[in-house]
Amino acid sequence: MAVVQQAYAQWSWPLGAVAADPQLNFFENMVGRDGVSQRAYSMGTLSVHLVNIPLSISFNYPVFLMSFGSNALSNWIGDVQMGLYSMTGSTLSLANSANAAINVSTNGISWVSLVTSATQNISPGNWYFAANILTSGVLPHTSASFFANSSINPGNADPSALMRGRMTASTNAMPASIATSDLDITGSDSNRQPYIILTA
Amino acid sequence: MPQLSFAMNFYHMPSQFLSVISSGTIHFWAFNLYDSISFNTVNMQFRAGAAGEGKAETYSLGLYSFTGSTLTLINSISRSSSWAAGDNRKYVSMTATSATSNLTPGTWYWGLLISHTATSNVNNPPRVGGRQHGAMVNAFPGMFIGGDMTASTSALPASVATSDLDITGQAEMCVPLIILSG
Repeated sequence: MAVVQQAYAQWSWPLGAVAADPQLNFFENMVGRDGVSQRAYSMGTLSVHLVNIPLSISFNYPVFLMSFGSNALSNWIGDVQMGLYSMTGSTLSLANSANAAINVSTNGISWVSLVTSATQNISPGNWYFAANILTSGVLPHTSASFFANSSINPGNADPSALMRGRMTASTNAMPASIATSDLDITGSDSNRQPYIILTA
Repeated sequence: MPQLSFAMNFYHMPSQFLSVISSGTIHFWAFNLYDSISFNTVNMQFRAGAAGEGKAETYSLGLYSFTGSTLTLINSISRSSSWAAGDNRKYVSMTATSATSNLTPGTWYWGLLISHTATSNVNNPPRVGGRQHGAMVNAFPGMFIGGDMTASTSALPASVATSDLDITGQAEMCVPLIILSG
């Protein structure tokens, strides 16, 4: 990274030439984890939210911040899934994905690291992160929750271009494409996004 | 490439004062810079540990780059400050840079060292404004984004191996507010 920065600082390019693209070591969808707190999550209900990637970053280590509750009878067993989507028209298309199969016996707040399905360098611009959490195994399960934003529970749909939403149908995998008409964009849960940090 | 007149690591002012950063230890955290900015002035928020009156500290902030698993000191800035009568919370503006430089876009790392210049501070060190969350039970699994030195030091080290840093827990992963003013 330092080599890249040094080269970037020392390189003077002619007017009109394309500047070298700096590479980030990390990107957070909620800067400094500001505004996040522990939130329950509906299993199998995929949520999406818009992010602006300011500089390039490798899609290498997506990390979620989760909390696992206390229950001496069982571990929490499940999957945490993430999708990286691009938007064309009114359709989200899956560009990449990541997954973590987890079996947690430790109570408390944990970083959950996902394994990406393919190497990719994410270019600057608008992208959509999708998150889904599934549980399996033998009941009773301990509880699991994301760290995510709060919401005022608006009574009408977000009038912006798609910012956040969640699928109305349950799913156990990241769909290859999602029509925005299949997303609920009204209410508290639809305006919620889990904290995600990407690191190179 | 545009030149910024200020840069922050939050979109607005966070409202927490963080766990104590003990004297003689350094807290590191990552910082993304999206355009260039001159390294002239860094402002941070602090709260007196107890009754602040008359206590004095020196704040030293190191600017580090990261390659492989090593942080390397690029530049530093510092300020000595006393808590006047009635002071409880304040900005501290650091302006004493070790060298003039222009920071380029990318990820940089800060290392904060607070040295007490009055013995009355030792048991009541100041707290830094920023954001933290509950104690994480496992180490951060991705690329290095922050942590605490486990060894004591009296100066900013020229290089730090991330294996020498504690990256588990609340204070270790806290994010102090940084305001760069070009």
